[in-house]
Amino acid sequence: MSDVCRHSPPRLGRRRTRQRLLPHVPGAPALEVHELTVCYRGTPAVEDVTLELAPGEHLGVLGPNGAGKSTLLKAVAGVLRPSAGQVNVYGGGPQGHVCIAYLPQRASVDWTFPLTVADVVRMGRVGRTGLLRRMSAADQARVQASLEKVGMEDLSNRQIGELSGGQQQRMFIARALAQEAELLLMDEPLAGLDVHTQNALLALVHSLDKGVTVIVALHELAVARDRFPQVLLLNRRTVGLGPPEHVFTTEHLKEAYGRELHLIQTDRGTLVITDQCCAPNRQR
Amino acid sequence: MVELLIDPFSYSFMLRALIAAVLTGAVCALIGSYVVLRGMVFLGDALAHSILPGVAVGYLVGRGARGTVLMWALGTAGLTALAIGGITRRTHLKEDTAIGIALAAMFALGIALISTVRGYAVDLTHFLFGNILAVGVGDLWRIGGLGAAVVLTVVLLYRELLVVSFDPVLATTLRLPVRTLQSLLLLLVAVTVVLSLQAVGIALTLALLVTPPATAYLLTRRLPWMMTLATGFGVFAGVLGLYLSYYTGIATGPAIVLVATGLFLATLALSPRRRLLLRR
Repeated sequence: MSDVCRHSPPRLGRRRTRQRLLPHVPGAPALEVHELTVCYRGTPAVEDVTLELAPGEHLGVLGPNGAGKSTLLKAVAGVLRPSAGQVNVYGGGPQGHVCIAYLPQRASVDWTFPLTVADVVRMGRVGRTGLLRRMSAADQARVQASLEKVGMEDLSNRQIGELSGGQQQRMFIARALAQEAELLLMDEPLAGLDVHTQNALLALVHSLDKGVTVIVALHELAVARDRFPQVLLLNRRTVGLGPPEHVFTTEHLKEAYGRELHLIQTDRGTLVITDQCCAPNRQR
Repeated sequence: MVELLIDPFSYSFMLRALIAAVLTGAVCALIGSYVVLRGMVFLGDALAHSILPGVAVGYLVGRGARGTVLMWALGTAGLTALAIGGITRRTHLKEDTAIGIALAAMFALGIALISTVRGYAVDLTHFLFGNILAVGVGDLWRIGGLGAAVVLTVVLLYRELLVVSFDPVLATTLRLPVRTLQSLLLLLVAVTVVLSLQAVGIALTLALLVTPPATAYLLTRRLPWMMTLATGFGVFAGVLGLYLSYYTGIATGPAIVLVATGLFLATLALSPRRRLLLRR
C-alpha cells in the first residue's frame, strides 16, 4: 500500500531525548495537521490528513470503526509519531507541549485501580509540581476548582469504579482542566451514554474557556450536525472536512461507511442508519 | 506464652532471620502493589526465575561470596527485562509469550550451568527455596541497603510511577520520561526479587510479591492504604512464618508463603462486600 509505513517508527518514545517545552508562537493556529500519515503495524491507520484549527474552535471527528479517529487524536497528542507529514500545536511539535489533554476511551481505562476521583484529577498536575516536590497550595486550589467546574466536588472521594459513564467523562474533563489544557482531545466520550447525559456533557464542553480548542471523536451523526460547527469525516483518509451540512452528503457518507450505511427514503427526508457492528475493517 | 515468642530469638541466627524476613516481606509487598495493579505478575515470576544463571555464574566467579552472587543475579534479571521488552517491540508476539520464552530459557541456562559443576546440588535448593536461617550480618546489610533504595525510589517517585502505571498516555502528554519510568519500575522489581533470594528463594519470591498486595486490594480502594496494608501483611507473614518454621520444622520459605496465603484466604472469606463487587 503505502511505502511510508515500511520504514516508519510506529510509536513515539524510542530513544527520544527529552524535549524542552516549547513556547506558544503568537498568532499560530492551535493545531495544524499537514499531510499526516500514521502507520500501525505496517499499514496506514491514518493517511494524508490535513486540517487546521484556530484557538477555541471545536471539531467533531466521525467515521466508522477502524477509520483512524483514535490514531489521529493520539498523533495530535504526540503519543503516536507521524510516519509522514506534520503535526504542529501553537507553532511547535506536540511533544513540546503539556497543554494537550487526551481523554481516553472508557473501555481502555482500568476502573478497578484503587484511586479516587480526586487522585485522578491531581494527576493532571504531575510534572508541573516537579520531581520529588509535594503539590503546592496553588496546585490544590487548581484541582479543587477543576472539580467544581465539572460539578464533581461532592464525589471527589469516590473510587473511580463507582462512577456512572457521564461522571467518568466529567472526571477526565476535570483532569484536563487541572492540566491547564488548551487542546482537548476526547476519544468517543459519548459512547454508552444516554441522550440526556450526552447533552449535559456537550453543554459542559461548550461552557469551557473560549480559548480551549476541542476535538471530539464520536459516532453520532445527528449530534455532530447539531453541536459542531466543523466536522471531519474520516475513513483512513479525509472524506469530508467543513461545516456538517456540506460534509454529511449521501455521497460522502457512502464513501465513509460503505456497506455499513443504509439510506431509507421517508416522507420527511432521508433516514441514515449506520451499522457499526461487526464491520470487516474493525480489526485494523 | 511470652517464652514461646522470645525463645526462638535466643539464637542469633534466628534474630538475623527475623530481620531478613521483615525487610524482605516489607519491600516485596510495597513494590508488589505495582506488580498486582499493572498485571505484571507473570513478568515478576520470570524475573525471579531469570536470576538463576546469574546466581550460578556469580557463585563460580566469587567462589561463594554472596555479594558477587547478588550482583550477577541483578545483572541477569536486568538483561531478561530488556530482552522481553526487545522481543515484544521487534515482533508481533504478545508480551506474555516473550516472557514465557525468556523465563524458560534463563531457568534452563541456570540449571545447565549448575549441572556442569559437581557438588552444587545442595546449594541449588538453597537458591530455589531460600535459606533464611543462614543469613549473615553482611547479608543483612545488603538486603537492607537494596531494600532502602527500592523504598526510597517508590516514595520519591510515587506520583510519577502512579501516572505511568494508571495511564501511560497521560504520562506522555504530561511529557514525563515514560520509557525511563517504566524501565525503572522493572528494575525495582528485579532488585526486589534479588534481595528476597535468601529469604524465600527463586521459586517462591512471587508469593511475597503478589499475595500480600492482593490481600490488601481486597480491603481498600486507596493506593496508599493498599501499600501500607500490604507491607503490614508481608511483615506479618515473614514473622509468623518464621515461628511456624521454628516450632514445626517446616522449611522457612514455604512457611512464610503459606502464612501469606492463609491471610489472603481469611480476608477473602471475611470481606463479603468486596467479593460482591468483584463478582460484577
